[in-house]
Amino acid sequence: MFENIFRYRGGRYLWWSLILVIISVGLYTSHSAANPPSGSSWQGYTLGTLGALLIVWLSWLGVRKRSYKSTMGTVQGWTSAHIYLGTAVLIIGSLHSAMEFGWNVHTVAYVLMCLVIFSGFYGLHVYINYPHSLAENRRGGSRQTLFAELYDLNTRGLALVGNCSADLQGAISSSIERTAIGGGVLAQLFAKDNSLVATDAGKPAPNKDQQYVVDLVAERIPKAERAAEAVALEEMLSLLCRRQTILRRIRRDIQLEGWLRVWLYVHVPLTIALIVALIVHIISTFIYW
Amino acid sequence: MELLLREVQDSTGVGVFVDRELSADKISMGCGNDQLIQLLGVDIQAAHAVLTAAGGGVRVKTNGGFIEVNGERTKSATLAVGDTFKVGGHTLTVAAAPAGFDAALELTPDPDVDPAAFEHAFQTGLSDTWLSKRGPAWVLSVLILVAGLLIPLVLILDGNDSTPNPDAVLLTDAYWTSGPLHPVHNVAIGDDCGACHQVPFQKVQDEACVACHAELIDHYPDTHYAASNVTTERCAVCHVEHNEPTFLIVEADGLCVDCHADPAPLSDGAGHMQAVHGFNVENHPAFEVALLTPAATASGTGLSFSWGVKEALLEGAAETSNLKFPHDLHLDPDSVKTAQEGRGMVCADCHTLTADDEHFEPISMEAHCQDCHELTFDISARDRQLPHGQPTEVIQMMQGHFALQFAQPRQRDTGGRRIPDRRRDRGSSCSGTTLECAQQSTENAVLDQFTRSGCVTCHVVEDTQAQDIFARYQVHPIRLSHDFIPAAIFDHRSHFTQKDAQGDEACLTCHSATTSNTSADLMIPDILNCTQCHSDRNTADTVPLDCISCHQYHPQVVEPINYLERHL
Repeated sequence: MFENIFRYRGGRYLWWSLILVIISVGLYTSHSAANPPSGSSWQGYTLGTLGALLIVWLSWLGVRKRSYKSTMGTVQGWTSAHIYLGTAVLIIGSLHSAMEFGWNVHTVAYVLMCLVIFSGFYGLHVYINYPHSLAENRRGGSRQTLFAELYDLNTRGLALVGNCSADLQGAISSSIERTAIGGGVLAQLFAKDNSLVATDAGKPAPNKDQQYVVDLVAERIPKAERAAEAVALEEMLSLLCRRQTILRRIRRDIQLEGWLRVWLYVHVPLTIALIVALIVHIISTFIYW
Repeated sequence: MELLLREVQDSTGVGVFVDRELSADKISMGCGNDQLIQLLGVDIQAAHAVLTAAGGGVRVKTNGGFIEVNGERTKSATLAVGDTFKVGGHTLTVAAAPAGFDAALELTPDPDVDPAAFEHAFQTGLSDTWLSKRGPAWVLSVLILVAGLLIPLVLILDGNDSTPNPDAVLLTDAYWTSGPLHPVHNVAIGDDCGACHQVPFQKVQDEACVACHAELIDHYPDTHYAASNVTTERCAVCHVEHNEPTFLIVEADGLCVDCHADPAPLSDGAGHMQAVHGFNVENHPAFEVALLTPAATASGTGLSFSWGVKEALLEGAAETSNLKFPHDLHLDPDSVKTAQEGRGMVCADCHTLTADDEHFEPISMEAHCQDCHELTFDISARDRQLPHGQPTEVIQMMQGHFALQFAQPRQRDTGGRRIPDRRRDRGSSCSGTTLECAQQSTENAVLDQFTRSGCVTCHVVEDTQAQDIFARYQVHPIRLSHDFIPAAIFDHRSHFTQKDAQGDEACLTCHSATTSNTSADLMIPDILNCTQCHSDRNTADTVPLDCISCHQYHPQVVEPINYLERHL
């Protein structure tokens, strides 16, 4: 995917951005000692207008990518342009600011712009690196197939549990019922496993990575008094181990998806805030013209 | 409550009951794995509902979702023994509670739970968590809009900003500043944005500036080009604030040459302005100078003198100061030496820079010439000096002197050496009365002073051929120009040191005094002399000059020529 968005139409937007940046740097260097760099020189106004238009256009990606019927370019092309032109905005905005900062609404807009762009860089990083890991983890399937298999294993496990001794039944069935997947933000991003299992002690015990119940069953196999019990236990162990594998993949899947998306919770709200700050920046500039 | 949950498992085709005893004040129910009764399904929330005991039956209350009772969706219901309700596809029937239990439920799990929808039982996406894009976007946007724009706007529209409250560090229009004020303005104005920005969305008007800067002279007086449509620029076009680092004057040549590139509208037919595009020989007009022009008119028995000012091209211009002064002779150490030190003269012996570093102190006979050029008129009386600048008194002094000489002849021998000269011999051989001899000597001395040596050495003296000795010789007064180019400023002091010249050598780089044998020479260098070192462009081998390096937008006086005339 990333090769396509980078090399979209021979890196068309890379060249567009480079040309924009070169023009902007040229404009900036046309300042002189008599007309020093500033946001309010004619060069500064030009750079500011260019930057503001680019920011609004870049934000439009969020609208465009939801407009499935739109024939106004491909989403891939827009994304490619978004990345390159977004990077160019960092330079254009900085040149417009002339690196003059203070405790004012103008600097708020600049800081927001930087945060948006750098969160975008992080997004680019995960978009480049994570989809491959995600596909590899899914083994060609989807998250739905992983959950379908888990459900199947759960159903079979709960059915098989009747063949086990009474004391194992509670533990195994509770381990299936009390399996934790995903959860809060941190649990998803760091693949925390808060799975529990009911124990004789009454209080549920941690069953991280299903290891408690796997060990419990595994320990019983050599102690089985009847061959049929040993077979049932081995079948259960096999099922629990398969389940353990699927759960790991699901957690990894949730984790990778989480990191793929979490930056958007910074990027998108800050983009909206940036547009508002941009409006405040422009209006306040012209209130006190 | 104590609840008995009987799950009917039918996966093998034979109904199997799995009983569980649940004990809690409230029995939680939902797809989450922390629920006491975990029910999977797409319609079931993580914490879907709670059960409480209700007189042998149960009371069900959801957390916003729905349960189905007798085919109707509801959020809460009180159920008696025998009643059935559905959560998602799961069926729960209230059974008679066995001894020791408050209630009993029989659960028939949904046989059609879509395995792929099983994910719904868990929070597997960030959108399932508290994370939100819309919330922070709203909060930040409203915060920025309110604190950054609306509150300051309300304050200035209410007029509260004119008296800034020092405690109001938050929510003021100070957050709109695009940079610090120049320290001078900061001290005078501080945070009172409205002092300059008087009307929202209107550029700062000149009225705000002249409220304080009332004494400043505009680029040209309002009356000067009253007939033309030319208006001066707003103050803030050249004077920009809130810069970092702070400065107050935009020195871009464009600000000047935008108007002066086309002089026609500026001249309005009255002047002779020329197009200016920059500073080099091609795009800057040739230098012009203001020359003082003497005029002599007959007045009574003598002459009356007056002065005018005319502008002329530097090339070919001649000064008519009425002073005879060869610079070359005075700077030749073999010809002239200073009276006190006996050394060759230097420029600074006569030319003293004034405090403005541009002009020079006036030259005067008494201060600069008289050390060498004594005004003696009788070699035998060297202590007698004629009064300078007073021709009538000069003659009166001579008359008195010679009358005394001839009345007391011995006194003539008491002063100085006896050097033979025509006057002495003539005076000695006078055979008339004392008065006649004195008259004769005076006439001879006057003739000497006004036609041969003495006054006439430096002054233009006109012989009117009048019979009256007082009216015969008219000395033309001397006026040395104070400023040849009043439209420009020039820092002499900074030019005292040049790249390979200092002292007189630096002066002579521009002023060719050593080859000037007449005071008609202006010795003002032309533009080519300047462009040897200066350019309007920033190049490696030149020092850049802006328009305002030499020209002042705000003149120190209303009009330079008028100024000169006032200083005649």
